[in-house]
Amino acid sequence: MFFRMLKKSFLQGKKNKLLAIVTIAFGATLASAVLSVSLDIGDKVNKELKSYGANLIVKPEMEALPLDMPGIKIDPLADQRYISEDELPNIKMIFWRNNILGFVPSLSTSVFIEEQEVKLTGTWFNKKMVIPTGETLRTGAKSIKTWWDVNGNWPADNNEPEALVQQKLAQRLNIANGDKFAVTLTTEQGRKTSQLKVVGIVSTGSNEGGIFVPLNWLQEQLGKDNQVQQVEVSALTTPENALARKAAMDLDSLSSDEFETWYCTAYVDSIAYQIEEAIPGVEAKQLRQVAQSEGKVLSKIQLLMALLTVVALISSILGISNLMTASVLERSKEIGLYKALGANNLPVIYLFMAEALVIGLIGGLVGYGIGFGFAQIIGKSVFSSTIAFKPLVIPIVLLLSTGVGILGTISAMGTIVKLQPAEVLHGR
Amino acid sequence: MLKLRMYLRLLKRAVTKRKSRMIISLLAISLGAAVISALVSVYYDMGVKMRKELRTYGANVVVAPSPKNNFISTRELESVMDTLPKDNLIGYAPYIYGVVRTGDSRLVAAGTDFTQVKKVSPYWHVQGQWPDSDNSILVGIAAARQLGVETGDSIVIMAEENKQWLKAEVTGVVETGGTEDNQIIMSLNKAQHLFDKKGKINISYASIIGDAETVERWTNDLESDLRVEPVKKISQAEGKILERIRSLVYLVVIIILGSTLLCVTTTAMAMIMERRQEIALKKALGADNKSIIYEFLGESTILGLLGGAAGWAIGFGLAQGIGLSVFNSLVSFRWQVIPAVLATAVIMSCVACLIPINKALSVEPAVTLKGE
Repeated sequence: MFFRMLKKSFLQGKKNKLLAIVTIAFGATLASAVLSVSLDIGDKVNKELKSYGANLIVKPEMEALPLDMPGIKIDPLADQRYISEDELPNIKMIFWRNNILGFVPSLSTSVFIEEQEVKLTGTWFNKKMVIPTGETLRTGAKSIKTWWDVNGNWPADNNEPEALVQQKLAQRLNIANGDKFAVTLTTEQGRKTSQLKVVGIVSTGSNEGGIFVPLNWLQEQLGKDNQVQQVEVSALTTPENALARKAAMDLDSLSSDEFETWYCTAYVDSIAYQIEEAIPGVEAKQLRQVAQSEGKVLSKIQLLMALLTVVALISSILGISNLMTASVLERSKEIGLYKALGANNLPVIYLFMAEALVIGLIGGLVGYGIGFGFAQIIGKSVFSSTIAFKPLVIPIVLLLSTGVGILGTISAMGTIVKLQPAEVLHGR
Repeated sequence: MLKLRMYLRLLKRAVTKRKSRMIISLLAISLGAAVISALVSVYYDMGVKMRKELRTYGANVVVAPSPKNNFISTRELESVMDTLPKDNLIGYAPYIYGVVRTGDSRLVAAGTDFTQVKKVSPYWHVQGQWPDSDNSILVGIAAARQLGVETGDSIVIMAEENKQWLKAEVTGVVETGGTEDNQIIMSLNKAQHLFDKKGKINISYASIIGDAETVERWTNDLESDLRVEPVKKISQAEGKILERIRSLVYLVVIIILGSTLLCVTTTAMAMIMERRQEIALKKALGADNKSIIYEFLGESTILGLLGGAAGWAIGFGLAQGIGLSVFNSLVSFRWQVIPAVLATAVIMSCVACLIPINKALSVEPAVTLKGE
């Protein structure tokens, strides 16, 4: 009998029920679109923030302090130590290997061009590297230093004498793409002059007075096979929290449980620690300028999205519950008739709740589907990638649509109980 | 005149006699209006606020001496910075460098203005205290390890070039991951005195609020011998990130607004549908379609205005909540939001009433009044 009444109620009040389902579907669409986006936002924004460049720097442990003075000159280090290039794939072998997006090794020296001292840097441009796991990775300045603006071509990563010349220097030397010029290098065997061919002019935005060449070529020229001075690493990291700060103060103060949690969380410091483990004799440090700001900006954006999600949820909750209350009020006549026919309060309430449940389920499912579609549109147009499917969203949305629907009925329960059949049926 | 008075009376009755239903409609409309006003306020303020947040990435403009020179005079630097609107300038930190000896070690000492550094490079991590007098210094973390000094120690520093020396107390150890880790950092005055370079600096980093184009335009328009250049890495990334965040929030806001409008409209529609009998009764009493539509529109306008006003106020409060918790600052008041919210609320409630009313008007009074 109960089911028959439920069925009849849906078949006869088609229009009203459809309206209710549509409203709930709107609310659920909203909730599921915003929830899907905000659950996936961390990774996406993190990737975007990578345009600020590397957030970790790996250098050999050194005895003397380098005498770098920004914007003035670079001290060519006499007793420089080096990292072996063969060790670099190990960076992709650490616990958080999937968070390592790429890295750029470099080796710099001072050279003379027409008696002027110029900084020459050997680096990877877009190097194909095979990792011990068998995977290959393409990495280098092209993908990490996204702000480099190259007019011409990128040099190949081999030992050809091809060069990227920075804009200001190219102007000063009056050279263009395709030109050749001579540089005088200082090696352990004495001075030697080599020819370089300009394949591209690069604008890097600051300290525009240097030359970039393939790492292998420079290693060969300097007789420093397989050696690099530093490696810039770009990694996806988790914003710092209390544990990360405690570890940064004093790693030994962590209990073994805390250490494990710290080690297994992608904090910038724990990634640095793992790189130090993977390559002996190096020091991996976070570039605070990038790493710290990244965490701050990321948590701001996540908070903003979380609040927008809350607004969206409130809005859909109120929308759904308003509708439910309205529909109970509207049907006071019907309730009066049930009561006149001898129904207690309880069965009437059950009937309304069951209706709310059915409406909520259908509306919630439809809304989830549409909302997931909207989330994809957002993902495609903002981040040019799809939003991941998060199973968590489905129960939340269904709970929201049915739960709120039922709550809306309960809030109207008082009205149902108070109803005097005679009054409503009479029409006043 | 009489007609008008009757119309007003009908309106008044409609609003006051059906309290519970009116409150539901009002609630729905003011909720919609609140969401709209909160989101619009936050959206318009977000660009400026996010831009400030992104300044934690540090300097986006570098001021270097002209190619002929190795130094900038403090006066030159100030005259360049004065050409910037005060509101856009977060700060500018001047630096002077020199090689010093302490014990057996050679290292770089820098002089700077610590209050400016705190503004320009908020990512500096100082263990201990920032120096508050000319006699206290910061030591980079790698330098501290090398020299074997700790916070509280006093060290003697000798400039390599002119053999002047000074004694200072280490108040803190600084860590940045950059070149500062290898340096000793003291106040600008002290360093200028130590290196005998009164009123001179080597380089200055400035943090300016503005997109890449604004900063570039400003640096290009400058008539100065100094080399003033944007730090491309920072300013370009900033533009890109900002663009992404803005379009993300834009889309999310549009979806929330759209679905809120639809939710509110359908709720209001459901409310009107139950008033078929009332419409039928009015028709039976001789009202024509037009006057019924006018009456309902009047009612909806009142509802829309009331709901819109309440919603605007709630929404403004909501926006402040979001502003305070995300950006630690209030969202500014924009009067343009008020008419926009009121108009949306009125349109929302009028549209919600027009659709069902058209249907209700085609009703035969006799059939409906009889009760199906």
